[in-house]
Amino acid sequence: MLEAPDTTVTSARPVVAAEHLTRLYGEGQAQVAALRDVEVAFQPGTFSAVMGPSGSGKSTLMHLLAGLDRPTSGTVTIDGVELNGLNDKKLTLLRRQKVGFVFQFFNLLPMLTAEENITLPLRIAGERVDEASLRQLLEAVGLADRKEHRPAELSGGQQQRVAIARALITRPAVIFADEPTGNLDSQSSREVLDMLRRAVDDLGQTIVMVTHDAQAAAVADRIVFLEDGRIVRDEGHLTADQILDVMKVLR
Amino acid sequence: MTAVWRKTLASLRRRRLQAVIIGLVVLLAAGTATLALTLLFGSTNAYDQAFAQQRGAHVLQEFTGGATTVQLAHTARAPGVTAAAGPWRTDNITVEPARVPPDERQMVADFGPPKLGLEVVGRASPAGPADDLRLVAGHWLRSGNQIVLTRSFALAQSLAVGETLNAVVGSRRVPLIIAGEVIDVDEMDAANQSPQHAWVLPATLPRLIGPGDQPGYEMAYRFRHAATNAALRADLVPIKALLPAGALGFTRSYIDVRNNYNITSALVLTFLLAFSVFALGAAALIVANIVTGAVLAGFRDIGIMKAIGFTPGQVVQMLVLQMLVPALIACVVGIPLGLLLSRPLVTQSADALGLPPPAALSLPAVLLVIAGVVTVVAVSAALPAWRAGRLSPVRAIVSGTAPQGRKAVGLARALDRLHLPPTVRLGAGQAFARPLRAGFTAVAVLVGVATVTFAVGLRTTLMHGLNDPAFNGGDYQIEVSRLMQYPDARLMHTLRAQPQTQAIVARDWASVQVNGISQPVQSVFTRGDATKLGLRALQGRWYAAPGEAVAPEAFMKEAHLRVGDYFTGSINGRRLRFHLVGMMFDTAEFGRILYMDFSTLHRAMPGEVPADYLVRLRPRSDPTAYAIRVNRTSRADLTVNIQNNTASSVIATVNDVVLVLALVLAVIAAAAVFNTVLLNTRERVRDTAVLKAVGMAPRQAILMVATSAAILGLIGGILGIPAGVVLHGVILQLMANLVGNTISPLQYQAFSAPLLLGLVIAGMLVAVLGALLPARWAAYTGVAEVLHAE
Ligand SMILES: Nc1ncnc2c1ncn2[C@@H]1O[C@H](COP(=O)(O)OP(=O)(O)OP(=O)(O)O)[C@@H](O)[C@H]1O
Ligand SMILES: [Mg+2]
Repeated sequence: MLEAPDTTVTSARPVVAAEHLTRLYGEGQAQVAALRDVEVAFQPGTFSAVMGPSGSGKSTLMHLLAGLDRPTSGTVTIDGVELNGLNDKKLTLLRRQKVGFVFQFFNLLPMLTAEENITLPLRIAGERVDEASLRQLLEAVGLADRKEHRPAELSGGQQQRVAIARALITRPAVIFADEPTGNLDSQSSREVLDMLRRAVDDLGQTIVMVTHDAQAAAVADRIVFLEDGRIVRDEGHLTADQILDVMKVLR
Repeated sequence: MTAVWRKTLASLRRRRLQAVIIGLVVLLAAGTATLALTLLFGSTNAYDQAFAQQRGAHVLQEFTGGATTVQLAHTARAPGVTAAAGPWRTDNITVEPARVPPDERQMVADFGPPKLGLEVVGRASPAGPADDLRLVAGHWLRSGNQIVLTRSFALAQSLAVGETLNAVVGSRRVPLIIAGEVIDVDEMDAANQSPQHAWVLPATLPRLIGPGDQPGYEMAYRFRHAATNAALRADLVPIKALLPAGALGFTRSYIDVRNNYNITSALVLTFLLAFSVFALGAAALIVANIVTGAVLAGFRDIGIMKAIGFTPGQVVQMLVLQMLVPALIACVVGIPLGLLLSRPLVTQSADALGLPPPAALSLPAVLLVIAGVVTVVAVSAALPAWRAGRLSPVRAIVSGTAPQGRKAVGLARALDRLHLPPTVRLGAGQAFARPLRAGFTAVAVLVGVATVTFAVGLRTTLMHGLNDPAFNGGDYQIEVSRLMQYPDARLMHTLRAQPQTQAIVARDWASVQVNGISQPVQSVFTRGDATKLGLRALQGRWYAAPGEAVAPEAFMKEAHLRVGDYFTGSINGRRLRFHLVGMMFDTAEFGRILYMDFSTLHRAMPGEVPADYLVRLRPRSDPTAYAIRVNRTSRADLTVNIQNNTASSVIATVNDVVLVLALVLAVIAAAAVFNTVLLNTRERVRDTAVLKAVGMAPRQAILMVATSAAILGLIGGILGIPAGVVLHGVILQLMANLVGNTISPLQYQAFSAPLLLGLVIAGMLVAVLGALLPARWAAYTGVAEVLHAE
């Protein structure tokens, strides 16, 4: 087995870093620059939010940082490994070890139970599931009594908590969350954000979260604002009202 | 309508691949169906047409010399008879062709001229109230030194009008010039070794009767009730009553002739029809799968269409049209292909009956195929489309995707419990995500695997049967016939003197009148140990004593006998008691035949001596050298034939047709799997993307999709193989029954365990191959692209 990702080390080296990141879609007249020359780095054990108007390139940035898509130019480095040089297989192996995901539409596999969804990344990687840490994780996300349920039998909030547990189980170097509360009511949103926050505080997890929601971004330690494929502002912790003010300016 | 059309064409363009799948499957099904129906209309028609045209006789009845012409003429007015021709004088004669074809000169130098047997009939006119002879070459008899042959005989012996045949009458030769060739619908094809009639003027016949001949009479009858052989037997009862006892000789029923004539096409037809039904059924399953898939994928589209104002009827129309267009295009290719392939088979049967070749295009066949395709495709598309048409537009738009099928299928649950790798388990989940679709696909695979199993088994069995003397009439290389001048004892001495001789079985024929059966049974009597030729009983044992007999199933059924039963009858008027000790396989006379020891015949006809000898040679002997040596002892009085046991053309044709059909259905099965996997992976593109996001490697994704296909293949294979084995047994039995025999399903180990295992693996492989392309798409579609659509 490969070495477990070491998230407690407080080195200055960022977990994820992008340099001169550009992503163009389409060709000729129809060409769209989703990202233009973006430079950004995320330090270990931090909770960052990415905000910006619709179409500003948030999802694109996230997909590139996670190695799900390849940039037109520029580089992405995850935990010291540059992604450009990797083939599909190596990229997959890297993702398995270093990256976790939480999606807006939960994206659980409908035929698997909650517990099976959570342990899926380990089992795909052919790794053993540690029963004790699984139980601990289920307790932490409050699903100990729901582990045998299938996604269709869970509420939206519960499904998202399963998704977060799925992201946490491999203890990845970084978790990317794309609008994790976009599909939830405010009560469920609060629970989910609370869980993410605790993952950072208690486990030293690094999280990068794309969101439209000022309440959500207010939980983060840092907020990166995108507009038209560029980073226009990069702030530390802000309150929801301050965030809304910034957003008004951007629009 | 135009809006529906435009939408239909747009959808077709978008779903090109599925249109191609439907096209391919319908093409194969339509081609097979066209082939089958053209044959059905073309060839069975051919015989009935010729029979009607020539007022074919329902029965050609031979009479022994005991009856007078006046008595026979009276039978024309027997109850039930609607028309009769004859009586004609008949005799069995031997002829030698005078002309020697250049390539046979050496043969004739070695063997003397070939001796051909003919049943010659004294007849003044080819026309009459029954059994018209249709002249196809030359002219009818004009003088006493002329003879008319059947065309099949002339063809088989390469004889032409104008050539001379020398009739062997004692030690004299009577030259007869071939005046013409006719088609006689009451005779089987000479190519099947069936004895042939030939005609001379009534005044000529007495000149052809040699010493020892037993001339008789023949009449042709048409009856009011003639649908079955049983009806014909009943028809003969009043005729028999008008004649002295024992006057009734051999009976030739038109049903037997028709069966014999149609036997190849009947078998081929059975297969073609059965399999084109399978093919169309499988095509229906695939179309239903595709439409259900299209409905699921286009769920949102359908909602929007309805919101725009499409009526439910229009939605159904659109979906049905979307399937019908490629299906009809496939017909345009498939039907001509089927017609083209049917051509040789259809012309062959018309040709044999001297009918003009049938039109290339059998309109009823084509219309039926089109109607069949349209019905099958439209119905299998309309059912799921109807559900789509009634969908609530709001629900369709809001949910965006179709409601998921029920996941907790028993089998998937059962698989859960096995501790399989996650990729395999996920594949299993995919296979059963849509139970109906999984079911359809498994059935399509089942049909494919069953057909292939059947075809493989049939090939093995038929090949085996061709090489087994118990099924091919005995293992002998040389057949010698002698004329009266060459005594039996001398011939036996000659044959025994040859060091290559391993076994000699002399053979004779006689009619046996069996009590409880109205018509005499043509019987074979063997002198010498027939089992040395490899003949054997399939049930019971071979005869070993006088009075013991073996027979094929047809005789046993007709006489209501079982192995071990005793029965009584008479030979040549002499009452005898028989013991049926075994059941054998023999297709002669459609199984209406008895085999006994010569000693049995000897009791009834003490003066009788066989004239036909079968010789089995020692291994590695040269049959030609042997034949020449034997023939040298008297070229004039012996006919020596070398037996060549080549595979019968019937079996070869059947084998080929079945193999092609098996391939067609295997392709359809693969298309079904391909289609299902394609639909599944398209619907699960998001799931797959998520799996890849959480770390599934492309290879694992391929494995997952391939597993889902392999499971369907495995289920189809596991169910399809017993189905194929059963089908094999049933069809073989049917084939045997067609020629009056029976075959125990255990007769041959056509299916060995490794073969069956191989077939299961082949089924899975076909399924996996069908899945590979969609699996690769699943594996290499960009994750971001899919997730971006959120
Ligand atoms: N596959 C694609 N092909 C062409 N253009 C694309 C593609 N994906 C994204 N884009 C374009 O790239 C730009 C950035 O898209 P992206 O999805 O990253 O925005 P976003 O910030 O996530 O927006 P939202 O908040 O609506 O999710 C948009 O203008 C979008 O139209
Ligand atoms: Mg987005």
